[in-house]
Amino acid sequence: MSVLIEVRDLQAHYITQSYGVQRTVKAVDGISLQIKEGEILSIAGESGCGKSTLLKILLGSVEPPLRIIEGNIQYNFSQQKFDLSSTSADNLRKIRWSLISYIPQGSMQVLNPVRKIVDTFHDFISTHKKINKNATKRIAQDYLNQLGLSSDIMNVYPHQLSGGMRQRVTIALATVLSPKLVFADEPTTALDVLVQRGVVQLLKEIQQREGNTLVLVSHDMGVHANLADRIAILYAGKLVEIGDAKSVFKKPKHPYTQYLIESLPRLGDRSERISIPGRPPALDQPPTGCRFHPRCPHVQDKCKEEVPPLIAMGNGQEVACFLAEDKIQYDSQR
Amino acid sequence: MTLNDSHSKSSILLSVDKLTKIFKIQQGLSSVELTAVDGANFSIRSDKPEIFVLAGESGSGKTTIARMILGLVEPTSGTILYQGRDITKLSQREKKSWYFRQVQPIFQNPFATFSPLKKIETYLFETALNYHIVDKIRLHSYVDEVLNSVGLSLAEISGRYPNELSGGQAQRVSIARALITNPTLLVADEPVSMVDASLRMSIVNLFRELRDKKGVTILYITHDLATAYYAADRIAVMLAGWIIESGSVEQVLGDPQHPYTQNLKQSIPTPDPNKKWNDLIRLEAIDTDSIQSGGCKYVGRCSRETDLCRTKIPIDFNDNGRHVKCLLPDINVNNEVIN
Repeated sequence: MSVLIEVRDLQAHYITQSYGVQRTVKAVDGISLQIKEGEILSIAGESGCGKSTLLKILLGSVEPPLRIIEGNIQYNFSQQKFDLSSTSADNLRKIRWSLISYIPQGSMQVLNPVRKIVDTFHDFISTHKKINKNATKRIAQDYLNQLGLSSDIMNVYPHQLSGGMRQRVTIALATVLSPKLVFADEPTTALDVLVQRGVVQLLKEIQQREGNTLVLVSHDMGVHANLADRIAILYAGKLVEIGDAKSVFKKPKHPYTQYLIESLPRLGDRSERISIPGRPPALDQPPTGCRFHPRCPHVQDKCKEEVPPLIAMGNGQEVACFLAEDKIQYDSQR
Repeated sequence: MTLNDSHSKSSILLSVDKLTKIFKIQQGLSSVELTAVDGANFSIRSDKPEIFVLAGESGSGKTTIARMILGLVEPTSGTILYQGRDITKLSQREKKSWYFRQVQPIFQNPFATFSPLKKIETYLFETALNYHIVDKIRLHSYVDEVLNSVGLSLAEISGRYPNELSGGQAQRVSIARALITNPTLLVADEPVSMVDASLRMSIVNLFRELRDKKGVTILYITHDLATAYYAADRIAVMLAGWIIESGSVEQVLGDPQHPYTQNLKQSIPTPDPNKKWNDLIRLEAIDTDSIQSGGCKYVGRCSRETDLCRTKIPIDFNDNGRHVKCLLPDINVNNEVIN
């Protein structure tokens, strides 16, 4: 699989100034990762860990107070290759929705409340293609039918649809132009279990048919387990673990990932789950060294001073923890 | 009625009987009736504290039941008995001096519970003073004691405003506030849905601790069936105002009998990549408003429906503490038809 996006040492901060006091929130602080063509990459982490900010940057929507301080992002589409910092806003507008698409969180806010679904489809398609209204209507109808949605919804307003239906219409809108890369930001949050399953099924179906790359941001590990090929765990603006979903779920290496996965309630098992002690740090004054050290049960002196680098574990899994490093050395000594 | 008869009247803390709420929605000159809760029956016993879960999708009526129990919404028909007394017939005075001490709410969004302009500890002090729980001399030590039971201390939150607390901390303070009056029953409406994934379990664990150590009974309303399974002793699953299946959590989520509950159970995402959903669910079916009058409310989405289901309201089956509202439940032992 070729690399579609290469993120190198990305640092992006929210810099605000009020009454002469500057406040810097280090939302993304030195993240390097690769997104491969045709994969489903899941990004997990709790709120405020920088996952939505990372998504925003990957979409090329960097607006103050958010600023990229360091690092670069290289896009390798077969249609065009470019670097985020050197591409024009015009080009970004052109490729957005047609090449790179986005399924936002909260579907009510993204659908225009005073336009019928069919008109919204027209707005989307006509921005990228010279096309008349009847033709967009046909395209939209065909596409909705392919997705198993009734074409009756074409002539209604967003408020007449239920939350789950709106979310599915949003997904249909975001994928109608067959983008090569789709970002989904918490697509199932606040949906009921059955609707959530329908949305997950729809995302999977589109990805399998179109072969596009899907980057899924969510805090719901159950959804990740169902969709992901690879999973990346973010904590306080840093990538702490990344790897094949099966191996990360089976053998999480970072103490934070271990907590995340072990604390999940499972059907059929009511034994006591230990929740993560403490709380996530504020990103304007993150802890020194490893950012997880105030909550970590295995903390050592080294963790409080040095930032652990991302270490490859051999099976494609990479972990940013000194413990994992020690374990490799220990294993190789044996 | 259903579950109520299984234990004697004196050991029942809360009993909800044929509870119905119909909202009238005015639209211009016409008005539309919306049945939020439709003849719900369940009861919570008092001899052993338990966590009772009311589960269901949004719009199924679970919050309306909670609001009726809290006295915020008047029932259209049916009764709510708390320790044998009808709570809709209580005087304002009795409500304040007795019922509101016994039953306390915890709401979904802790940041909406507290005014952003007030220091958070004032809520704790005011509740204690308003209900004459302690005098001013013992106030601080009492509040500190209550905060300790939710894993906080007065020193930690003193002087802080709600926005200075994390979601998990704010929800803990909101639980502490509810515990000030030393209640027997906590009504918690979606208490963890606004809380971060990593802190969610700490709140649910706190509920287990309150049940085991302080003997508080908790009515836990949620759509998160995984935490429901983890925390609950008994569960009632709602669909469009009906309680469609209820019983112990092992019965209902371990071995569901109603087709809807079975479907729900299969749709709980398992955090294990080796257990992905493989079978497809009917997509167009899950959103339609197939709720017709006269028949079962699950008609149109049910895998087992017959012609009878469209015209006949299902009866309640009772089996070994489990209650299923279906014409064709799988229960094969001693089908006892009630109602």
